[in-house]
Amino acid sequence: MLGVVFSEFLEMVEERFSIDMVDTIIEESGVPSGGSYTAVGNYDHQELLGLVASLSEKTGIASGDLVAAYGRHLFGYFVDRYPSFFSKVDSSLDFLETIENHIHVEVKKLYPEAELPTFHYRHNDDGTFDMIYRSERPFSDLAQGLIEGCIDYYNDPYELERSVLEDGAVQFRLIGR
Amino acid sequence: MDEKWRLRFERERRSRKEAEELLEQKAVELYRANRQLLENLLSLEKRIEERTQELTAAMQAARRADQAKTEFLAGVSHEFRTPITGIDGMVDLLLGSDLNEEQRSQALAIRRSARALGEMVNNILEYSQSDGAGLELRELPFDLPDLIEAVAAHIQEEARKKGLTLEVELPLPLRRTFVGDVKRLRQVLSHLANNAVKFTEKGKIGLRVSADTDQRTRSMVHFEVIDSGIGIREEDIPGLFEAFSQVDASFARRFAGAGLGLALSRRIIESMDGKLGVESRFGEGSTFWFAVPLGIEENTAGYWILVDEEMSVNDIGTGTPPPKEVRRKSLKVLVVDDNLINRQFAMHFLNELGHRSGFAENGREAVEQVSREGYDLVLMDIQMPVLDGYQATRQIRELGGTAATLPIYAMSADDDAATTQAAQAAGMNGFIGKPVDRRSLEKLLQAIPARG
Repeated sequence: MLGVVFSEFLEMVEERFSIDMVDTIIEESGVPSGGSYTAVGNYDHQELLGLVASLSEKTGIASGDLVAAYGRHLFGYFVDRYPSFFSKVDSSLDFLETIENHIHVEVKKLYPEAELPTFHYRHNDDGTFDMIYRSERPFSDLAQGLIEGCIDYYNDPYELERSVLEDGAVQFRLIGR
Repeated sequence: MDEKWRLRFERERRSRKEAEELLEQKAVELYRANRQLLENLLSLEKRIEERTQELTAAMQAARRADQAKTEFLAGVSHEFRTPITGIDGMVDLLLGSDLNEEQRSQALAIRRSARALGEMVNNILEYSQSDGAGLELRELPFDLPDLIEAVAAHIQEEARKKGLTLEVELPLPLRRTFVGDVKRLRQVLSHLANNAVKFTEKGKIGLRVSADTDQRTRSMVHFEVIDSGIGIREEDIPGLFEAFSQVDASFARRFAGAGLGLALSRRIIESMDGKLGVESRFGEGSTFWFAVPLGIEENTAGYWILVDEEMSVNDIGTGTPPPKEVRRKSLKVLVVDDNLINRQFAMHFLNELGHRSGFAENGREAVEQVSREGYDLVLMDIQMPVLDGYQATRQIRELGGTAATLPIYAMSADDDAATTQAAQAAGMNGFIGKPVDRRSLEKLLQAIPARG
């Protein structure tokens, strides 16, 4: 998993809770890297799950909620760090559609070893929009947070409905309000 | 203190983030450089492919042009043959008419030129034809001694005029029937022999044949034409076998020729799966050689081995066919000729036909031989130093006894009435043309009774 996901997570913990909380979850989860992450590195995704579990235990907030919150935070980071991806589109739907065929392609150029999830898109007749997430790793909560962050960023009137398909893929449906 | 550490920590974090950004930026640059390299590589490959196609097209065009040239050459050569044949035929008619000495010599010069031109045109035609579909070869049985004899006969006149000695070396085991394209072999061998005479001013010309005779059905036969002529510079040898090449311009002026003979010869020999080459020392002479695999006519193998006294019948194995020819008699023949090659031929055939032979180099030696030994037949050259054929015959007749009735045949290239009359007047019994050929000699010998 790309290092930026780890380094930004610890930043969020520091912001929302405290720098001591960062030390605590690193210590309690006993992550092999010792918590010294760099955005351009690559680390085992189990470390993130360990950190999240520790944080959940310390704060009493459910892991899923923590990860989704982190997703929204991460989206903000991406907007700051890679503004060119966002300046060319003016709606969350248009942006989400660029992830699979544009953003992930660019990511692969810089990080050929990155293992990214895949997204399938579907425009339904009733005006709703489906985004189907498939990944080797259990980070649909993170995906949800990112999508929510995106809808907020563009200030679009969408409601997000989440369901699990038969093959285990997670479907996010954007419904106009 | 806490505030100080917090600032330090922030500073470190910022520098980490800057480093990360820088690294990402470098990664982008690296990616783009790689892409550029890849594009260059692809465009390079594309250019190579384009150039290869261009070159292939150019090569094909060159081949077509070459083919067109060859076809043109063949066409032109073919067209040339008709008028040349016309000239040749008319000169023959002219030579048969009443001409004075000067006119005759002029007509002969025309004939020589027409024939030389004809040969050149034939060479060009043949060479250009061999370029395309290759040479058509015929596999027929032929007598190797006949071939060598024909080639030697072909050059002996010219050799004699230049005062060159002609030596033929044909080992006994090779005096047999082989299978191959004898016409082509004769063509190549004659060409090499002609060249040898052409480029040799003094000394000798040798025709040598050897073979690896271990094989039963096929044998690699080596032919060599050795001369003591001007030789060839080492650097000139590679170009020697290229069409339209002569050793140098001064050669071309001194020695006429289309420069095709050796190229054509090599092509012929190579189409027979053989090899043709030369060894030469400048100023000392050259040996042109070729080696070709030839079939051995199985039916004659036994016959020839029987004739070969060096091998016993036991060497042949079983199932030997009976001799084709039955020798009823063995004659003792005296060959009188001042020319070695003429003697060698006559003696070679006599030997081959199962007769014994002796020789004399002039009339006086002939008289001595006849008076000393009993011969069944004398083959007598006419023009000889010391004592000519007519006088020698008269002296033999004067010896009396068996010598008075000994069959003496004139050997001469001139078969005109005057020669025949003079021979009769001198006491000769008959006439045989020179160079002696196997068939007429055989016929003559059949008419001669053995004295025992």
